Amino acid sequence: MQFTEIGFALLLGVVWVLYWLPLRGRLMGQNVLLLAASYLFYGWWDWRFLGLILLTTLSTYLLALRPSRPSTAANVVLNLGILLAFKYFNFFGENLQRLFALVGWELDWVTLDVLLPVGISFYTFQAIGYSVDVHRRRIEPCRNPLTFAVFIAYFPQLVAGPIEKASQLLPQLASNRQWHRAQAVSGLRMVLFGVVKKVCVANLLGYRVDMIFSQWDLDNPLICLRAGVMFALQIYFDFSAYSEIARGTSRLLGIELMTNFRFPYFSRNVVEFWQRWHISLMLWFRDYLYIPLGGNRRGFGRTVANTVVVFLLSGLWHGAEWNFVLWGAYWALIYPVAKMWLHRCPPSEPITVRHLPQIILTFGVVAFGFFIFRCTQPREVLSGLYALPVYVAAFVAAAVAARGVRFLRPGRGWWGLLALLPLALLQWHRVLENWWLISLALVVTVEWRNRNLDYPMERMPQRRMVRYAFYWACMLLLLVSEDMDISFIYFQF
Amino acid sequence: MVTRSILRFLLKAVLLTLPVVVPAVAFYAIVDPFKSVGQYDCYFDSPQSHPFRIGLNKGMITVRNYEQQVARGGEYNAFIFGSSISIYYDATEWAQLLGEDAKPYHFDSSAETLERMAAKVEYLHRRGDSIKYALVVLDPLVMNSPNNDNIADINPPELSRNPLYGLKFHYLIFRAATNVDFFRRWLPAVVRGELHDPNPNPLFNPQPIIYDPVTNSESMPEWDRLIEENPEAYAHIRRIVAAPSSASVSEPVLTAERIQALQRVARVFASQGTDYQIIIGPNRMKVTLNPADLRQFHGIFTPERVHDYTTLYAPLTESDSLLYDRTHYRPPFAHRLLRRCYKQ
Repeated sequence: MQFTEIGFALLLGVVWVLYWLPLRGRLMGQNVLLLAASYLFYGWWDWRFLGLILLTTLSTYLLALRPSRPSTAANVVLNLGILLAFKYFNFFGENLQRLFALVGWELDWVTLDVLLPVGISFYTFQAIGYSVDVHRRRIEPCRNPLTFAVFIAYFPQLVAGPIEKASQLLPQLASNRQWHRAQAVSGLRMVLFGVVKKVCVANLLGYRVDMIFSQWDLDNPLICLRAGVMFALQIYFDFSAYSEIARGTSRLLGIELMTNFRFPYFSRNVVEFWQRWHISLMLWFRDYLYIPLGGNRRGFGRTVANTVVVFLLSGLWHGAEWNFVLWGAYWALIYPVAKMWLHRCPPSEPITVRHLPQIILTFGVVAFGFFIFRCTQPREVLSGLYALPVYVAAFVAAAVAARGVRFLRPGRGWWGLLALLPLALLQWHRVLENWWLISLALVVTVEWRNRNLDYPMERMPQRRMVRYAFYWACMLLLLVSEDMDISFIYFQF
Repeated sequence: MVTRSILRFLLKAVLLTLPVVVPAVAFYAIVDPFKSVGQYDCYFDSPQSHPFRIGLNKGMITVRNYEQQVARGGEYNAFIFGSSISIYYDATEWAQLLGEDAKPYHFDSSAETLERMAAKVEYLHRRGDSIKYALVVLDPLVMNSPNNDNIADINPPELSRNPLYGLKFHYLIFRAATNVDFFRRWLPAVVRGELHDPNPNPLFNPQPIIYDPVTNSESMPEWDRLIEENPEAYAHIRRIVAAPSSASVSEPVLTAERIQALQRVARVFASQGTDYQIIIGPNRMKVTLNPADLRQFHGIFTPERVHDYTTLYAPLTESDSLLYDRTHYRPPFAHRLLRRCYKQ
């Protein structure tokens, strides 16, 4: 069951009505409902996955009741063991096979025919985080098994995060939820905008990206450039859409989830990018890996080494494939250099149009990384490397051109668009062919308007009719979008 | 107070969607481009008066036209089941091979899977209609088709026992009738009479079908004439691929679900005492039925009733004059198989 399916809308509708009408003020009833909905949501993919999530829930709950070093270690080992068995066993097995094949040994027993459970990396990391936090006495162990089961399986964030900290989510699940109309309104806005981003932008980009990678000639540097840019946009709109729908859904239920994306493509440098991209995962790595390894307190060399470890593991976290490891290595190379270069001028001022050249250059670096991320063959990566000069030239040229944009007066762009209207009417057939560019423009405009706030539709027009017109435009885009059965990219992780 | 605020929020959220949803639903219901909402006397407009005709769900036409014909006093007791391949088995000719009391009706669908065919057979049985005679036309390629949610292939709500299935059926067709891809093709045809309908997934049906609602039969005299005049030119225009030089055996296609579907069909035929025959026809690609599948067919329906022509008639599919495309053979060829099946 996907967030963009009619089945999910029905599930959410039923849960929402039961949650706020007959069950309002009944904490246990609400949590039972949330748990049932979560298991139904997860079991919809494959009921067998429920066994794993129950195992993770039970082991983490029991082993954290009397926290000690051995019990925490046992839980971490168990959870990582499950993750390794289901996600990484075949990766290491296949590579071992290849290695032994080089010396003529045939190993055919080192791979398992297992199904990768959806979202296993997300809830496993959340469970490990809880276990470690209890051991460090940052939080009290959760005594209520129902509350804890909801914490692990909470359906809005179960399959693709955000990876919540127990100190943030558990207290909300353990206390009565209050109805706040403003919270529900903002939740609904988030859901609406998230669905538009996924259905009207990410899916259509995904269709085109798949076509480029499967049918086009990546040896052409311009095609490589296009593939990288389009995939970078696709993965952002796809994943941030998921996070917004998750946050919005949760807000509708009176529970706040953390921000997972803060307009990362408006970052002015790569260090800022990593403060805005997949925030919950980066915080997890910081708290449970980077800092325990010593962080930046043990000298320059150790800091760089720790950063490299974090990025390599974050690449591997995405999947048991070499392209993800390469992507991690790319950032392990770029990030420490950027950090050294930029450490004296951290960006604290709000993002303005003046920063457009830096934004474009940062996006260029990120897009090339995502090109590697998307490659499935070494040949594609090589094509990307050959195209690197074109990449650099294109983004530098765009950055130089963007310097001119900042002299434009705000509002003039609208007149330009209005002037294009007669042309669009004449060429309506072409407009319909490329209608997804309208969605893309709308989504980017909304994100840009809210770039210094918490989420894309936080600042809405004051006039009611303008606000409504915007909602209707979103709904219209959803209505006319083609039905594409494209899953959220991060479900596979 | 809180309950009122919650209900107001809910009501407002629903009301807010109406300015978009109501016109779209009205368009779907009034224009009804896929003819899925209303009842029509004839679902196929004449190719002369309507050169651009939207491709419709043939299974839906089959069922709705049947109910309409029965309501008007039509009586049927002989049914041809199967995919679009079966449509060129002439129902009237077939009836002549049966008893004098045979009243034939084509009960076909596009890309008919065995599960969907079983639902059709059970539907007739549920209605209490007599299935005295039946002809099942199958093909190893079509039998392997998945139960997709393509709006041209899904079963109509009348066949389902699940009352919510109707919602799914209309939702899928509603989505297909309100998306940009639809308007991009439909508007030029309606406004300017121009065809912008590139493959894949064409919106408009290119076949010049003449439809007979009494037996739910289709024929294409225009294409038949073209084929008879110059079969090679027709094959070239229709881009019919050349037949391979040798036949190949299909992978076993009868999964557990498909075997269950065949067993459901057999149960209905047994309980109705139906006189039936099963033809597994050849195809241009010369893919023959797997022996394991044939054994399953024999086990479920008895060998006397199952006629596997995939090997015997495979060489004939090389002829450009016997086929409309790689799977649909023309009435003369179908007639030949029919006569052999009934030993005439």
